[in-house]
Amino acid sequence: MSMVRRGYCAAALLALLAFLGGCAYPSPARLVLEHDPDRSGVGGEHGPFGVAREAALTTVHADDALRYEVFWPAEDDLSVDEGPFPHVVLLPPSFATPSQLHWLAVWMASVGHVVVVPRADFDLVSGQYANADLALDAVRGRAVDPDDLLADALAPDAPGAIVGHGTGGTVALNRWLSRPGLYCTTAAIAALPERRVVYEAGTDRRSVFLVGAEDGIVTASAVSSAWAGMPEPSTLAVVDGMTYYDWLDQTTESQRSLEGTPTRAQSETRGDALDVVRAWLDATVGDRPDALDTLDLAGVEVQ
Amino acid sequence: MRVRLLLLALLLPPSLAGADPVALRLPGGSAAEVVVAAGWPQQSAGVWFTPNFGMAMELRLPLGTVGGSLGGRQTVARGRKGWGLEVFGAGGVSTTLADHSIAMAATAAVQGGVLSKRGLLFSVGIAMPAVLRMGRGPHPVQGKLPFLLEVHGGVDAGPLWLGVTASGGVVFSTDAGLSNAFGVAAWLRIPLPRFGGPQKTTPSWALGRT
Repeated sequence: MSMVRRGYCAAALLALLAFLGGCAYPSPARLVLEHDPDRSGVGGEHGPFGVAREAALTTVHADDALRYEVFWPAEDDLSVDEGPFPHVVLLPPSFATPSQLHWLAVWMASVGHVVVVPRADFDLVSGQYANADLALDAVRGRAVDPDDLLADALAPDAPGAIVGHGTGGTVALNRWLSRPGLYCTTAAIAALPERRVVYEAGTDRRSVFLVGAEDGIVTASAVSSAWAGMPEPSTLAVVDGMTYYDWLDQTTESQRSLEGTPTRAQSETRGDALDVVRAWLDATVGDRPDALDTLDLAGVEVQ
Repeated sequence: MRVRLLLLALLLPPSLAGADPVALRLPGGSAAEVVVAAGWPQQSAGVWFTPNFGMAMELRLPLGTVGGSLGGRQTVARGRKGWGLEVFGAGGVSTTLADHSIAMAATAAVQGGVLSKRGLLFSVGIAMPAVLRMGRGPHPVQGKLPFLLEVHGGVDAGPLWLGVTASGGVVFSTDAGLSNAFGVAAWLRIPLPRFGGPQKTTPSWALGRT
């Protein structure tokens, strides 16, 4: 075979592989949790709603596609379960995939929230701040389309919540500060605010800092120091015995080796953490404004 | 010939693609050639029908747009030691895969480079592949104006040229303000079979080497 013909073969192979490589997204909606009115949504247990998940694309920056996942309270036929619901944008940390926080997204949807999880190119959240807003814009647009599966899932124009873990939490704080019309509250999990940013504009919109006492990546003392500089109202919750990687599924041994051993079972620490998340959501986008003030958990130190 | 036609036909799937014709901005040949660039975010395949007029097909990952572009290039300076300067312009139409809306693109670029006696190629360029999209969704009209610095490296491999390209810069878009952008691609240039057999496609701006 001549060099030129080999060149054509290589070119054709490159082109075909590239074309096929782009076809992994999106994926159709499916039910990931069935409705069960007996579930309490307390202590790590899912809430009563069934949950559906869809991976989708939206056009951003004129010719880019932003990948996002949306989880919503759903009936068995995937339609929205008597919405509208408040929205929560969930941001994984850099170098983690959204699937590593699916457990949190499913849980938040099961207690009555529409959860939007944008996926950054190369899973680098830093530098792609606007993904959160653009993915939310896409879901909001779908919620006002009567023919869409997400029709009436969200209350039009109502601000919601944004939560992130690690660098995702840092970005969540940035978006909460920058886009008050989209986010009335934020929770930063094992995350620090950006340096040289003045957060006073967030006064009167609640922020929550959540961190494990055994976190070896973003330590509880570092989070506590950063939290002390945040405007009121702000809550710090330290979960006893929890590490950084307790928040993520599908972690590797090498990641786990970066920090100490958790001193409590993951199911217990996640249960306590979810009770804090529940209280935060109820107090801010729910109907229990005093939920955080009355929070009393044996495994969580709340300030 | 049939095999060549079949292999060219295999290039057609990405030819349902458009917007930013990365393949045409590779260090230019002096003869008709096929060019393919595969990387992130652009997959681009094109043909230079003449040294100055070409067509490219693009797929922007992850499933951003597909479409096609027409482009032209002109050498504006050429030195005796293998260096030169080239300007490039292109226009194209594409469709977005997420919502099937229409995007129009216009690209302007300038590139300067040098070809060594050993057949190593290095060039640096600036490219502005602007895009305007009109369609559905929460932002029915979107525009973006990137400002990209591109670096190309290549090697003479017999009748072919192989190389890599990296680009980075800032993008202003109407829906997200300022953001950053980067791209990488491996590329391949193959002389287009013509009467009398394949011709060597030395970059036109490097033809002044004495």
